[in-house]
Amino acid sequence: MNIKKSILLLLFVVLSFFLRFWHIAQMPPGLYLDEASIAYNAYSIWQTGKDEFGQSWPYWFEAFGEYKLPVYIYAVSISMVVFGPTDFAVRFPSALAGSLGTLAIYWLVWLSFYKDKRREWLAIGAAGFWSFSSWSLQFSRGGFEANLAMTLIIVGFAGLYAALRLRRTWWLYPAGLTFVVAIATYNSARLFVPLLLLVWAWLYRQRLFKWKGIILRSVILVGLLGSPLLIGQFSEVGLVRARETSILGEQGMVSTAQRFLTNYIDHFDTTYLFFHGDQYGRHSIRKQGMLYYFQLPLILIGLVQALKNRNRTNTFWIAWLLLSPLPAALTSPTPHALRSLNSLPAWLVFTTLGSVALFLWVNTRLKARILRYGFRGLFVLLIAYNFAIYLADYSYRYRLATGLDWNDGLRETVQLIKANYENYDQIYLTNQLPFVYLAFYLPIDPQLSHQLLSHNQNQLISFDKFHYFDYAWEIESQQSRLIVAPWWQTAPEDSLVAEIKIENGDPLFNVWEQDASN
Amino acid sequence: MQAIKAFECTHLAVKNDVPHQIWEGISSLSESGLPIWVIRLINNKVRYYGVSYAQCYVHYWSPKFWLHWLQPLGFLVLLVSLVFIWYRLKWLRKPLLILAAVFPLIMIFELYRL
Repeated sequence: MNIKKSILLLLFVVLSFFLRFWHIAQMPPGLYLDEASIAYNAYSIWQTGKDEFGQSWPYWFEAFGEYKLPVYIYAVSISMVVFGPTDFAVRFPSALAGSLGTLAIYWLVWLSFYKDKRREWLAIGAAGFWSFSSWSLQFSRGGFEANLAMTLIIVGFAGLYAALRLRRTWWLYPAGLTFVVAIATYNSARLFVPLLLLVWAWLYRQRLFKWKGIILRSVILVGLLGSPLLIGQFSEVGLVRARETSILGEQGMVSTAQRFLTNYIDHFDTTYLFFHGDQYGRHSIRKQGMLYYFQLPLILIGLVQALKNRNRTNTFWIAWLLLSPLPAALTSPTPHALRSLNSLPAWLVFTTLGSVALFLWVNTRLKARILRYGFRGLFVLLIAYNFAIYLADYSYRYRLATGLDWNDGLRETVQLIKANYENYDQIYLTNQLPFVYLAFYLPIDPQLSHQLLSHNQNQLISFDKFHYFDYAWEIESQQSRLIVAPWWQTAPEDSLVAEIKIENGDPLFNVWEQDASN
Repeated sequence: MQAIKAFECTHLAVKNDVPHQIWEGISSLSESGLPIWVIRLINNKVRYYGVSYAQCYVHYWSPKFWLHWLQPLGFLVLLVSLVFIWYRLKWLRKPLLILAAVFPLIMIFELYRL
C-alpha cells in the first residue's frame, strides 16, 4: 500500500473514532432499558462476580426474563474497571467495535478480493463508507450487542480468508474462536454465522478438502477452547428470546411461510433502506434510510457488476446479503435494523464495487484531466452533502424527537434522588422509574440486589427507604418523604421540589416533598 | 414521504407532500443555532423533490411492492423468470433493463390513464 492510500485509511480510522465517541454519553440522551440492565449486571459482575440475581459468573443473564447472552455484559464489566460505572463505560465496547470495524472491513475486503487488481481501492472504499455509515453510527453510539457481534463476524471471515489467500492455515484457529465469541454475543449471529460458514465452505470446498487434517484439528481445538461458550448455547433458557419473538408456530405452515417471505422481503424494501429506515426511535433517525441516498445508484451498479461477473468472492458477498436478514425474518416486527445489522458489510461492499466501477468507467470515457478531477470533486461533494443532512438531523432533531425512546430523564431523576437521599425518611417512586436505573445510578450495592430480587423486578415493592407506588394520592405515611410521580400526577401546592423534563421540554416526572405532619 | 403503499406514489403525492416536508425540516432545526443559510442548504425544494421522486421511482423496483402486488406465488414466479432471463436469455437483458427504467415513470406520472 502506498503512502497516499495509507494516509486515506488512517483518516477514515480517525473519522470512525471521532464520529462514534464524540459526546457518546450524552447523545443519544440516555441509557435505554436494555443498556441499563446490561450496565447494572456488568456493575454487579465487576463488584461481586455475580449477576443482579446473585448467580456466579453466569452464561445467560436472566435480566428481564429474556436471558441475555454474556459477551457484551462481561465486556462492559471490563470497561467499568477502566472508566468506572458510567454511561460511557456501557457504550464503550460497542463504540470501540464500530470504530475498529473500519480496519476489520478493510482487511476482509482486501483479502476476499485478493485476486482482483482493484483490491486496494475496494478495501479503502469499504473502510471509508463504513467510517461514516449512518447504520453503523446508529448502533455504535448505543450499547448494542449486535454491533460487537457484527465486527467479530467480519474479523472471523477475514481470518478465514487470511488462511485461504495467504496460505497461513493457523489463521483458522483465531477465526474459529472469533465466531464462537460472536455467537455468544448476539442472537442473530447464532443463525447467520453457521449458514454463511456453510456457504463459504461450499465455495472453497476444493481447497478445504486438501486441508481436511488441519480443519479437523482446528474444529476440535476451537470446540474445546470455546466449549464454555458453546455448551451454554444449547441450554433451555437459550431459546427463551427466540420463542418470545419468533413467528414460527403462530399459525399454520402456509401462513407462516407467507409471513416469513413478507418479513424477509421487508428488509430489501427501498423505502426502508434508503428513505425511512426502521421506525423504532432507537434504530434509526427515522427521517432517512438505513443507508444514504447516494448509495442507491452505487449499490445498483455494484449488484449488476457482481451478478455479471460470477466468481467465488462475488457469490460470497451476495450470499452474505441474502442470508443476513434471515434471523430478523423469523421474528416480528419487520423490518428490524438491529436484527438485520449483519447485512451492513454486504451493502457497503456493493456500494464500493459500484463506486470503483463508476470511477473506472469515467476514467476511460473522460480524457481531459480537469473533467476527471471535476467528477471526483462532484462525487465527494454529493457524499459530503448527504452526510451533512444526516449529521444535522442526528445532532438536533433526532435528539429532541426520541428522548422517550432512550429513557431520557431517568438518569437526572436518580441523581436528584441521590442528592436528597439523606433529607427524607422515605422515598416513594413511580413504577415508571425501573429498578435497574435506581440500582445503576445510585448505585445500589449488588449484595443488596442479590437479596432483593426474587426473579421479577416488577414485584419489587419496597426496600431500604424506597417504596414503589401506582398513584400518589394512595400514599399513606406519617414520615417525611420525597415523592417521584409521573408528570400527570401533580404536586400539592408549595411542595414541588423539581419538575424533570426530557430534552425537548416535555415533562416526565413531578418530584415533591411532604413532611411528617402531612 | 410517509409510508408509501402499492400504487400511491405518484407525481401528485410528491407535489402535495414536499411543502410539508420542507416546513417540517426547517422547523426541526429552527432552534438548533445553525445559521439560516445552512438550514436552507439542507432543507430546500431541490433536495426534497429530488429525494421524493427518487423514492417513488425506486419504490416501483422494490421487492416489497412486487410482493404486495403479485402476492407470494406471483412474486416467486416473477423472481424465477427474472433469474432465467438474466442468465439464459441474455439477449433479453437490454429490453428488460429498458422496461425496468420506464415502468416507474409510467406509474409516477400515471401515464396508464392516457
